[in-house]
Amino acid sequence: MSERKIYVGYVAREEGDGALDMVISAEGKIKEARFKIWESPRFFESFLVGRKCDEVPELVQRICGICPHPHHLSAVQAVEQAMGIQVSEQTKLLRHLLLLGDWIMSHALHVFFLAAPDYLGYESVVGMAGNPELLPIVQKALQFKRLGNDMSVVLTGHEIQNRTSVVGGFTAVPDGAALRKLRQRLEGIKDFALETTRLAKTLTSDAVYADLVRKCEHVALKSETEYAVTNGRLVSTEGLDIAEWEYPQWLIERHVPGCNAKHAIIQGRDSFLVGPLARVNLNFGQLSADAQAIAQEIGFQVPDYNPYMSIVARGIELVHSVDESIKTIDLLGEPKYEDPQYTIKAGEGYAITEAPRGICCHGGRIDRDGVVQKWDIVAPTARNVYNIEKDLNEFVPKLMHLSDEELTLRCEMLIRSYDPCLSCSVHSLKVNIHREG
Amino acid sequence: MRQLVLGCGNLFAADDAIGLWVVRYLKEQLNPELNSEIVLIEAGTPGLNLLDFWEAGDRVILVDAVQSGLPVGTVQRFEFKDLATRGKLVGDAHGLGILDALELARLTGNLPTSLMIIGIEIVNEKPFQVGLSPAVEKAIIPAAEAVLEELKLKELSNQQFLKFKYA
Repeated sequence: MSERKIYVGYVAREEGDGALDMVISAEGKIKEARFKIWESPRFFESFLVGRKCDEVPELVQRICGICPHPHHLSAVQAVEQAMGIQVSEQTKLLRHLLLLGDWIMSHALHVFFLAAPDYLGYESVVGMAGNPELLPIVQKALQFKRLGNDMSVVLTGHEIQNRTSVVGGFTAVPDGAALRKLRQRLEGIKDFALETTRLAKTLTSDAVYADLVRKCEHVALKSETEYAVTNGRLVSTEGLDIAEWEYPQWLIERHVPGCNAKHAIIQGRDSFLVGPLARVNLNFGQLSADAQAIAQEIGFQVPDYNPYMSIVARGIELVHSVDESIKTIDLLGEPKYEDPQYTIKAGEGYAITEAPRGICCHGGRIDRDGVVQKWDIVAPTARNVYNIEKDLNEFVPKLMHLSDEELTLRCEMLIRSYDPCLSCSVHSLKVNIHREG
Repeated sequence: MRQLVLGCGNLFAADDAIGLWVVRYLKEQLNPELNSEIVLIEAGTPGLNLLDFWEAGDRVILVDAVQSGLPVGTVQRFEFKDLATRGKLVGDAHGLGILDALELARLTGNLPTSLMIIGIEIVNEKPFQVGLSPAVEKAIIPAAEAVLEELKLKELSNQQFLKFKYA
């Protein structure tokens, strides 16, 4: 047998530019597996230095068009922590709802538009829509994603870059009638969310995926009161349990040649996974009753260390997000305007929110004039890149019997299962497999 | 009937932004008080969200850059329904291109009542550049006129609808 080289020059259906190079020896051993990201760095951390702290959340939401709100809210909360600002219960609820909307939008997009075409053998969702059997699902999926976008419009006046959320609260609040309309639509989409989870299970039930399990450390926020979204302690399946502001001491980043994204490890340990699978594994008991019930119905058991099951975890989180959004809207009732006021103070603060694809970390130091001295940003994909490489090293030897084309597709699917956002983490997708012989 | 003019393109990719410049020009020219049924939108690079701009009964005019081999600056008009259906498509990254999004709209029954495309031939779509090539810049006014004709404003008195005459 000759050496195999698998080279995916550009991995489609993920955000940003990256590639995968693999060299497999004649004996079937992986000599090299390297996930390379060449999306150019954008130097946000550098140009934030010297800006006023209340501008930071405004600027960082421009990092990404898929997760603007997690970046924004992590930065808001980091500034609030640095200056000791307390916010109202209403503000916390509005932020919670804003992120749930982001999850709905992003998860619906991922399950139906990015992942499903792989599993069903279509080039893209357009091909799926051409099949009369799948067309109603695509139509419903569009409505689901639309609902996520509309939640952002109602809460912030805009689909992507919010216009109302600031340090200290909101400069405008939605009226109760608009929220109740959203509530109706959420109720209307609930059955489809359940169907989505069942579909995700069907897609991944092929035996080829069952073996692809690798126990690695899963990391997510954990809250005492709810399925953590906007804050909590940072915990892991290997016993990590720290306050969110301690993340810079525990989650370490290393530069790697050939990759514009840094490789992340946990202090004293190894690579780790963040995202929906980690959240479901760590916080299963806090999912809504129906989300737990659907997981049981499809036979999903935690902890699950198969990265391909991330799509199922997204389905489960869609059900939870719908339930939790309805609950949050009920708690909000008729929101009242509250003036977001605070006093500028020197300080240092770090905060984490759960973006659809995992923990999104922001923080830094602010001087007594409210000017940023230092700012740290770590997007979720940056946490996952090293873990993806480790998965590939483990899984590819089990898939050696496949043709180069099939093997390449499985590698791409693995990478896509993390729903990587390479422009955020500064990296990409392109698979090269080289078999030596 | 509501008429939507959607200018598409990336402001930071040189000529690709021509759709935006045409809409900006129209915004200066049209008197909004007299044209409540006409909506001018700088749609940018909406991808899948393109489908959310219109409702079933709307008439849509989409202005975008094209590369078809004609002389740079050429303004073309075509109806979406006259375009050949697309073959194989791969959605890049998280977004779909305009034609992919329109194809999805067609398949899912989300097309507006009529969809006219005004295409302007471009030459340079390099990233991180703001500004149009001279030949493309010269096409702003002819393209805007093509939009006005489609809006049937030309048949009415220009003075009624335009704040001032353009060059």
